[in-house]
Amino acid sequence: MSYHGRSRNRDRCGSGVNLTLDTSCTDRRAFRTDLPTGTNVDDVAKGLAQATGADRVASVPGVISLRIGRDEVVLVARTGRVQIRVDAEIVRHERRLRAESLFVFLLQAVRAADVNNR
Amino acid sequence: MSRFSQFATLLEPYDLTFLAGTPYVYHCHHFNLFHDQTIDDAVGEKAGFELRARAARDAFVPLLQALFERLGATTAAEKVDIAQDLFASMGQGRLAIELGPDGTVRGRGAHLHYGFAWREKYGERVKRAFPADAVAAGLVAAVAELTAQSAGPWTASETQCVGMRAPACEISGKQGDSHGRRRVADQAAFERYLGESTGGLHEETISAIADGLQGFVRGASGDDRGLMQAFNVFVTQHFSSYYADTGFAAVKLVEAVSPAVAGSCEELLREAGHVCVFNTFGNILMSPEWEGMVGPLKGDAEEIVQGCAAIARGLGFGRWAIAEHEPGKRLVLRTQSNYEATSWLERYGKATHPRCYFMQGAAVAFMVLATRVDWAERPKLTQAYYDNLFRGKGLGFKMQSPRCLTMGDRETEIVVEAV
Repeated sequence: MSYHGRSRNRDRCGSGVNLTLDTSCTDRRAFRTDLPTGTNVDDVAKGLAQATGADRVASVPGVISLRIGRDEVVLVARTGRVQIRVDAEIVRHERRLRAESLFVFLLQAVRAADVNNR
Repeated sequence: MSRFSQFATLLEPYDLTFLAGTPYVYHCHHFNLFHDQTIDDAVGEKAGFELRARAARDAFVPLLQALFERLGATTAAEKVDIAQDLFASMGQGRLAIELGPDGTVRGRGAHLHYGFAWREKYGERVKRAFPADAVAAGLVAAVAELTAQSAGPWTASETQCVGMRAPACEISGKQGDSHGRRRVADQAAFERYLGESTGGLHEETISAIADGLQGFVRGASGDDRGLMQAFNVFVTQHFSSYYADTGFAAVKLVEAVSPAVAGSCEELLREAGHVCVFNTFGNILMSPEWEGMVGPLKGDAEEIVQGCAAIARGLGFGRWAIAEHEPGKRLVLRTQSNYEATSWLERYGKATHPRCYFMQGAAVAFMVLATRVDWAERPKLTQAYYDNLFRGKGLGFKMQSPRCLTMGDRETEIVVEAV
């Protein structure tokens, strides 16, 4: 089973949201997930910021960028794409683990947003 | 946003950017490392470092002088503080500069852009034998000159480098430089050489995207380490004169000493354009920021070429315009403004052949990205993929530049055609 396939199964967590390695020119630092259709991205970003103490940093219109320590989570309002960017000082073999720890917070924020919107 | 952002200006409609009158652009670590390697390959590592450090120093001196004046810095401590902050805000790293009581000047930093990025990109596979942080050395030399009691330029060398597995980079200044300090092309020089801006195809789309990118990068700044990360790369706000002056000096030196291989040096400067477009432009096109601002990437050739033209403008390379585009077959790029031409004309006068190397290479890379990359597959922008696209069986395109600003023409025109 591929690296991608393994992580897809492990990270499902019952939310239909997966974490995969994203396209980038850096080595294992960008991870991707796509929020379920209809998820309120603003609410997810707020929940994530609250849970992690993230700072919202400047980005382009239509994008919410949160800095959590030296890592970053970027959320696209119109498509629900999320990119987790792990800091370069995290050694390569621990980058996925760091991304997963942020992904857990993201999933909690997704669930909370979902409950609030019901 | 840093305290220096208030001094940043955009020269419209040319998409050229200046900080307190000093021209700057944004380039990523992939390009920066490749550019520096090209200089070192051309003139040797020691001479390359010195050439690059001088180019950085010669740009830092007038910029710092302008900032000291505008911010009312008069004491040495205030000047050092501004210099350190400026360096960090540019994404060059946080460098602690110390003025010793005996007149010595030293700098220390564990996260300088070049050494740090080199270690991140190559450190697991290659052992570096020579220090990487000539730009930081240039800053130390500039600060030394502007705070010293005696007049005259300084030089600086890097004695320890993170790229060479040292825990921190150490830089040491030394008074005197037999080469002297050279004036770099400033905003006034750029304005002297501008042709009439004519624009091109799809102006509305390209301008809108470029505006969004310019706004984004203007607000970007270094983090607590002085590193600027955007679009998954380490970005620097950097002197356009650094790239142009070191590149041209290297070519001129090779032309004088070994004319038979000068063409190879020119090719490497063009390849720097490939490296930049593949890594930085490619990352931007596939980034969530792009998706939010422009929409998900479909990957058709027109979208890629328009997007690349917008990115070039957004990063301050000049108003690159699409004059013609026949997907897969032909692309004509034109500009009446770019950072290479002004530096060349100021230093050497009219060129006898086209010298806008970076733009020449970038134009070819636009076509390679537009025709040979399957964007729907979300390709990983690895070195292996770069080699496959740009160093494998051939690019699949030929390039010529029938007109060039460096030759005194009113614009640079670059024609890329399929072979």
